[in-house]
Amino acid sequence: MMNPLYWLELRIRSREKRLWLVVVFFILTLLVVSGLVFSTSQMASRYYTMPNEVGTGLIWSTLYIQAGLIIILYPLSAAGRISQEREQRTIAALLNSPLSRSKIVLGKLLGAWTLILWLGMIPIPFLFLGTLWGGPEPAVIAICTGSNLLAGLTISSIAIGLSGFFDRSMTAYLVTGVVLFGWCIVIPIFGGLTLSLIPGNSSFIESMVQYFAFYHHPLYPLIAFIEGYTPVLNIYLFYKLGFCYAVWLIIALCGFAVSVAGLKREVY
Amino acid sequence: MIDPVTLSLHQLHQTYPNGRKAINDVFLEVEPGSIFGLIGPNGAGKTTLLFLASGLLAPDSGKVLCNGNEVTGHSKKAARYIGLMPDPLGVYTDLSALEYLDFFTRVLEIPKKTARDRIDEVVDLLELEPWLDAEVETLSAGWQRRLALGRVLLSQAPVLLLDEPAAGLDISARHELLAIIRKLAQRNHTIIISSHILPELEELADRFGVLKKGSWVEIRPNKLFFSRNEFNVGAENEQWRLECSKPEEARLTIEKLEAEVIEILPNGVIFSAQNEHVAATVLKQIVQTDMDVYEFSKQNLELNTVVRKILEEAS
Repeated sequence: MMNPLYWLELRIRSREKRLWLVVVFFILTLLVVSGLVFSTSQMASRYYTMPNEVGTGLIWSTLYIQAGLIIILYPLSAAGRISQEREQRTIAALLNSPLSRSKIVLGKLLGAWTLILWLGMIPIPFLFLGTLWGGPEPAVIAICTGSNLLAGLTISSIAIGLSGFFDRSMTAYLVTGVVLFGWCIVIPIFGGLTLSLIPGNSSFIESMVQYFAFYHHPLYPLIAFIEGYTPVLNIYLFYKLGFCYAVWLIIALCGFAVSVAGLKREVY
Repeated sequence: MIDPVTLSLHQLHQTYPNGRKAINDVFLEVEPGSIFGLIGPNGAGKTTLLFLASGLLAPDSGKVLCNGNEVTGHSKKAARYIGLMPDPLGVYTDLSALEYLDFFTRVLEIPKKTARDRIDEVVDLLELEPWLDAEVETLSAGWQRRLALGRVLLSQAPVLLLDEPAAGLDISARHELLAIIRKLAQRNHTIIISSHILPELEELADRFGVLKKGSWVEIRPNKLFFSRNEFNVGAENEQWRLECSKPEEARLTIEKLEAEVIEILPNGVIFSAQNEHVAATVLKQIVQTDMDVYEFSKQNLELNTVVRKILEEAS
């Protein structure tokens, strides 16, 4: 039987006007950026436009917009999912049932993930258009999209975790924002500063700092592929991506555990 | 009919995170088909006691048993026996009434085949039919309460814990809801109702318990509750109502005896007497005068007064 909280999430979220506003905003942004990519490519070359430049520009910009939406914007909106149950006092009714706490969290998580996957599908026509213009190979695009989706799922897990832990949605939103800010911005800045202070011959320390500060960043896989335009089967990238996805998995599991633990607290 | 289940709370203790005692050595046993009225001032621990009973909170010590099966601090296990209607209700306002009930058939893991029948049964009992397609948000407080009760009844839990079920309802909605609760008791449900609306509770409950600062200060069957001598005005006195043609003369007669006039009414007096013998003497004296006697009866105190006095005594 379908998880009832998942059923509820799908039903309630699909009726939320703001979700549709996000979708419209997303599509409009993609249209505007596609137009900009096309026009700047034309302006850059006086005589003719290289089709693959347009395709590459279109695909990378689409992937970054996708990342921005499903990594940052949407997970933030998931941050109130369980605390809302506390605020509207429905949590006691849910717990007075055969449902386990982990099932409740799982239902919420699956609801958030489904919407992320759904939002992740919206740019596909734009990406397809990019490949028609001769952009990067489809495997790279698929891996980048997949990485964006995985990052979105991981951050949603953090958001749901914090949501289960705090009684008030506003607190959960704020703390999720702070955690994301720390992870995406503060840690890389510290990493960059530390790297600038390390002497040139300490490659081991340098590598450690990079693992600590950069290689788990939600945008790391995307940046790695776009910057290097790397072939997919690159052994060094494989290690770094492996590390990145392992860290994300641990973070997602921690988010889940924090949320379940949060539900074990008092239910007043 | 529902399978009979006795709910027993054994020596429950619970402390708030700030160290204050929430529940202190509470013992209670409620039999199937009976209604227990849980009374107490705000902050007395009524909701905490209901949450402990339903396993949503784990006590520091003590046990919660349903027909001898321990469910202490285990909401999933307790849900097999106990349905809790909390206050505030907690309803999903974005759903229609039918969707709300449908959602809870899923939460309660009711098989799809029987879910619709179960919903129909609850809808019939609570007369929810006209409101099934309405969004919960648009329902009045009374219908929202019925819907929340419907959610509890879907589980067919034999023990029902109702926290302030009539709060915020107008008189007719209150009476309708109380009639439903009475019907549920007839179906063998074991019911605990926590309420501040005492007159309704007085009609409904078989037993009352008064909780103060987490401890019982009084716990008695309904009839004994109102006949307790020590709650009458004056130490250990009972109150009597005498309706007669000359209240002022009656007052003078009563004051000559070992009785005390409490109130003079337009058509009589209310007085207190140490015991029934003194009251009978008063009546004899009155009858011997030339005034007409219309009524002579022992005064039952209202639940509000009784509870107030119990709480005063306890402090």
